[in-house]
Amino acid sequence: MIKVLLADDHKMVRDGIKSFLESEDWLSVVAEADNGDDAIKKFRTETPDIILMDISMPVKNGMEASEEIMQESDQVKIIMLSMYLDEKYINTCMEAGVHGYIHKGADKEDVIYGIKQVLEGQNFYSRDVREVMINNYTRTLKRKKEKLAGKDYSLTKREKEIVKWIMEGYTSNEIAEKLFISNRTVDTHRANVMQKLKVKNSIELINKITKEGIIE
Amino acid sequence: MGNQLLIVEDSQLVSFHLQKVLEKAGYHILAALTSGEEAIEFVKDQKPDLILMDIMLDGELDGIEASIMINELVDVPIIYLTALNDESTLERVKGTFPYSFLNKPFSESELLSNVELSLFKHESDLHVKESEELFSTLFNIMDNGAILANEKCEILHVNQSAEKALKKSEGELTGRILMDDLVIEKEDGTSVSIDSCKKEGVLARYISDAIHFVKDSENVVPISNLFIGTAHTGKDKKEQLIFTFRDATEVLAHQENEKEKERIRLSYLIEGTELERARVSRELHDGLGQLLNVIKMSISEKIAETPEKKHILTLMNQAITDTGKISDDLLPSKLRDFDLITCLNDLCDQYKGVGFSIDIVSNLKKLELDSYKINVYRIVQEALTNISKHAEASNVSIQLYKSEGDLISLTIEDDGVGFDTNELKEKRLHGQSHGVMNMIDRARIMNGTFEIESNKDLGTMITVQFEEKIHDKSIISR
Repeated sequence: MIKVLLADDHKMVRDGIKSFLESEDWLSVVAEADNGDDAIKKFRTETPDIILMDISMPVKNGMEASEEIMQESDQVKIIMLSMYLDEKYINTCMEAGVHGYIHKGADKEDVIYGIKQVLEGQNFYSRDVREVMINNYTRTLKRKKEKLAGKDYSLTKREKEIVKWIMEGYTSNEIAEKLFISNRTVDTHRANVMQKLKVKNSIELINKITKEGIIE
Repeated sequence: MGNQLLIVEDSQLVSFHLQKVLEKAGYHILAALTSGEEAIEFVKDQKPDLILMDIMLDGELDGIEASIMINELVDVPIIYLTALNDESTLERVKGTFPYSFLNKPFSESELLSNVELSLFKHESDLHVKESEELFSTLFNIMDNGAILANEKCEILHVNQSAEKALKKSEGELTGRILMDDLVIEKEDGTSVSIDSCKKEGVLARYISDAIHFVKDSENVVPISNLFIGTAHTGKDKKEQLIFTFRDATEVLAHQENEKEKERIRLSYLIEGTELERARVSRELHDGLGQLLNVIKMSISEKIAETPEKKHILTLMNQAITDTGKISDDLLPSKLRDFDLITCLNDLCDQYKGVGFSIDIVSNLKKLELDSYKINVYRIVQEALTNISKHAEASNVSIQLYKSEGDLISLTIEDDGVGFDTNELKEKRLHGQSHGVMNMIDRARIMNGTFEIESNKDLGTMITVQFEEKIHDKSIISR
């Protein structure tokens, strides 16, 4: 018999999940928790084999609780059960090292299959989660490609304009007059460019721009 | 009654003659004394209107010495009578500011006209002195600070209120140059120069109710009700400058106080709204949304497969998606669980495929600025909405930096078509630009500044700057 800990702050949700988990004769929900802290405590006393953990819970959220639990045990399997079908949540949970991420909209079969997979040592993500992850991955690849294509400090149109005048030795005042913008704005642009290029003063700025050919 | 005179003359014959002539002319002779000592004692009790004083007298003191001592006791005109007219006597006489000097022998009419003139002159001197005293009293008791300066702006006189306001004594201020040593600055930082008080080269009045600042190397004093005018005083009727003003330290403090109260009121209002949105958002997401999921699970669990079931499940899925969307529109759930940069990145991802690309650069560390994230997020959200609606931009850059001194600078620029900022001001006056007002309010409750600059060549740039303060608590925390 596999021992399950169910953590969700909504009793109704717990009841729903519990009823279909226990329709499987090899699964038993040994404990329930309604917040992250409670989940950690129940994990310690009930030593479940697997935890189904909701992300957004009061006191301590599911991500934080999972991280703590995994520090205490490398045996227990954790599957996040989440309302969020969002790459940021999915990524954060993957980074934290949980074993699965199942969207609450998933079918019963999906959940049961996921639990089996995770118990066998695999990671599992429900179908809709996988779609998000794949989209995310292809986008990251595309971005990487773009970045590799050129040493792009991506100065904005305004910044390029201002840098051009700085290179020719114009003061903020003069640049402001030329571009019909305020002195302060010129200074803000200058500060932004220095932050982007990670230089500390105008001399370093000019050197870096000349050296790396940022402005033609 | 005629004027009362005192005669001090050691020659009884001359004294008697003087009495006769003067009494005949209608004067009353209080006494005829023969020594300086007697005269000094006399003026301690009685006050003659005029003294006729011989220089050679009985006793130790001569007439000049006696006059000096009498002048110290009372203000009375003195006419010297003497046969001496050598240089050194004349010099000594001058030092006692006599009203007249009669050389013996003198004629009757000479005596009478001199007495009459001296009395008149003394009378008019008294008037001048009185009005001077009146002026100086008024000058000094004025509530307004007042400074009198010459045509070169060199300070001549400063009243007590001005001394108090400027935290300097008259001695310290005299001789310093107004509008040079003491700079008078408007609120926008431009200074008032003597030229700005001139009209067609002639000094004219400068009057302003606005707050100005008087600055020197030590102090900055806020003033109001500033008046700069000219006066012609003194013998040569030279032009003088008069500055009057009120100390505005308290007014300014009051204004600041009111502004702060307004800011706090606004932040309660906005935070209250955010809290309510957060609550509704959470209820929708975690309450209704989860309930729908449970129902969906039950349906797929317990109802036999039929085309109707499939249809119901499709509808359920639609309801679940819509609930999530409404919840996220109210307050993105991510704002609760993720840091600012993650949320901003995510916000930008929502604009994929709408025609412009967004670049975010920041030097913030992961949990930095957590207590400001909703306001910063809302500003960026508002800006992106505007850009997508109006700017026709192809690139948008969002930069968020924390520099030394915990100054946070957020800029949002686009390379779109720009707009007329004057039109925006006009709209704001009529409350027609809620988006921009919202951004300004958000900047204000963070105690920050908001600037928007736009032109058709460069597009639009929004700059928000504020200082990070540790004690500011996040309203949306778990």
